[in-house]
Parts: sequence; C-alpha cells; structure tokens
Amino acid sequence: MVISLSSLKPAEMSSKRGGTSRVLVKLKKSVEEGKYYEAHQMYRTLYFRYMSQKKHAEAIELLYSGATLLLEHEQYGSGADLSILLAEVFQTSKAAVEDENIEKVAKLFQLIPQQIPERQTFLANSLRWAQQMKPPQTYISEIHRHVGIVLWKEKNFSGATHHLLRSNDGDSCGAMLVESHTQRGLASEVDLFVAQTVLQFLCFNNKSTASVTFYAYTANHPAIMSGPPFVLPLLNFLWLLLIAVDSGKLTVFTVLCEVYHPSLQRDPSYNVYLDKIGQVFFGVTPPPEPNGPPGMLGSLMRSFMGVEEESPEEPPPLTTEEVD
Amino acid sequence: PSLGAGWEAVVPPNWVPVMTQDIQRQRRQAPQGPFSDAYLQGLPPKRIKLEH
Repeated sequence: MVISLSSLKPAEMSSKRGGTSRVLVKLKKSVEEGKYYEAHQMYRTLYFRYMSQKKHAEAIELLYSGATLLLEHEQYGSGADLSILLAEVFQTSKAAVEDENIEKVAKLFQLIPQQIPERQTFLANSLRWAQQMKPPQTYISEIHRHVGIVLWKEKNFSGATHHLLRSNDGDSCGAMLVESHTQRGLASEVDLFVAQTVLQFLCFNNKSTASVTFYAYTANHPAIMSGPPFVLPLLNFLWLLLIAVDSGKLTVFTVLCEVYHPSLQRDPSYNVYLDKIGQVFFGVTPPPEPNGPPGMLGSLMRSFMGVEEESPEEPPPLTTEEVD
Repeated sequence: PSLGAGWEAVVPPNWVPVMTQDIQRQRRQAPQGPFSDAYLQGLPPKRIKLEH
C-alpha cells in the first residue's frame, strides 16, 4: 500500500473541502502511477468513513472523482463500482437532482463501456434516485435525455430511441431518427421511422415532444423535400393527427384512421398504438379486459409501456391502471 | 373497411384536398415489404434487448 489512512495527516481527513482536495490529489497520483487496486480500496475506505460521519457532499466528490479517474484509465470494473456507490449516495443522502448531479450521471454513463453490465445497474440506481424527487418526472426525463444522446453518439439507435422516448427532447429525437434511418433503414421506411416514434410518444401522452420530433425529422430528412402537406400519405396522417389531438374530436380521429387505413396497415402494431391514442386523447373507452391470458396485442402494449419488465428501473409515465 | 360517406363534412375544409389526394395515392401503393432490422428494433417486443 502506497497510501494508507495513517499516512494522511489529520488536516487532510478534515471535513473541510481543502482537506478533501488534498486526499483527492494523493489518490489521483496513485491512480496515475498505475496503483489501481490500492487506489480503489482507498476510495472505498474513505467512502465508508465519510458516510458514517454523514459527510455526503464529501462522499459524492470523492466517488465522482475516483470513478472518473479509474474509468479514464480503463479500469472499468472498479470505476463502475464507484459509480454505483455514487448513485447510492445520491439516493441515501436525498441529494438534490440538480443539473450538476445529472451531468455527473451522464458523464459516468458515457465513460462506462456498453458491454460492462454494471452500466445498467448504475443507470437503474440513478433513475431510482430521480424517482424520489418531487415531482420525479422532470428529473427522470432529463436523465433519459442525457443517456439517449450518449447512446445516439455510440450509434446504438434503438437504445437511443428507447431513452429519448422517455425524454422531452424532440429535436434530438428527430435528428437521431434521421441518422438512424439514413444509415440503417430502407428507403421505403422513410415515413415509418418517424411514424413509429411519434405514435409511441402519443401513447406516453407526450404530445409536444411527438410534435417537435415530427417536425425535426420531416424538416431535416434529405429524402423529404417539402411539406406539410407531404407527398407520402402516412406523413400527412401524422401531421393531421397531431392537429386533431388538440381538438379531441373523436369523429375527426375516426375519419383520419379510416382514410389512412391502407397506410396504417403497413405495420400491424400501429393499430395497438392508435387504440391507446384513442383512449388518451379522444375519450375512447378501453375494451374490457378479457379473461385468461392477454392477447398478443395486449402484451405488445404492456411490454411497450414497460409494465412487466422494468418496473423498478422506470416507473412509466402512464400508470398500470391506465394500461390495463 | 370501406370509407363511410360524408367524411369530408367531419374534418376541417382545408384537409379535404390533401386527404382526397392521399386516398388516390394509397390505391396505387405497393404492398409493404419486409422491414429492416433497424426498424424492427423499435418494436416493443424487442425493446428488452435494446441496451445491448
């Protein structure tokens, strides 16, 4: 052991920020000399000491600094370990979900490679921390926004979609979908890519982000020349649907679905989304729950709404009774 | 399903030309081919694997 607790002078262990800084400098030097194991153990020891003294701010500073350093030195296991501890301190100390702390989460999520399983544990713990805040949805959305953008930069478009769908960042979502479609999709799917996401946003009762996503996509996609109105009928359907949800007129919604039936048939899952949208925006009464196991479409919606798979990680914006 | 008569009276008047043209366009629409993997990954049943 190059450094030990006894080698630190009392002043360095003091609660003052100056003391913490000197400890951090010593630990940083240790990491830079390649003494990763010792440094990791030391971070953990100091973390337990700070927590027993209820020095939460010092613990946060220590863990964030240590996790960043170790991850930057490609020590992913120990770096992810300290990251998870950091998310736990956020929870136990009820640290305010401020921009500064959300950015810490985003930075560490970015530094942990996607193949490290602890990345998901860290994210789940961070979302649990945001869940404790009142109101939680703002903070949860913001974490999803940051994580979605990190995954977009990694070209993990499906992961990016999953998280941006739970954010309020339609501009990023629209731009990401343009890139996803032009790099990975078929030319014939130019309208389907945005339709799928806009309908999913509407199922989450997030009309404003649905709308921003739609306009960001149609305005910036190189294959969509003009509009509205558009050359592709499905894009016109989305454009008019986004107007219709404001009026809430069921007759208009019904006519739109009938007129555009041939386009909507292209992807069978759109019927499921539109049933939900009818309930959320147009006062359609959901059909009674059939006895026995739910049908394929019901389970499709359930899995989309995240009722079964992900309840600890992400309480969905729509509650269980709305889905059932 | 066949489209009911009188739908034009239900929607705002300026939608009618757009929707009339789209009815024509959809008659000529080619059947939907198989989807790309990228598109299918946005469907809910595959969502559980999204992060990997």
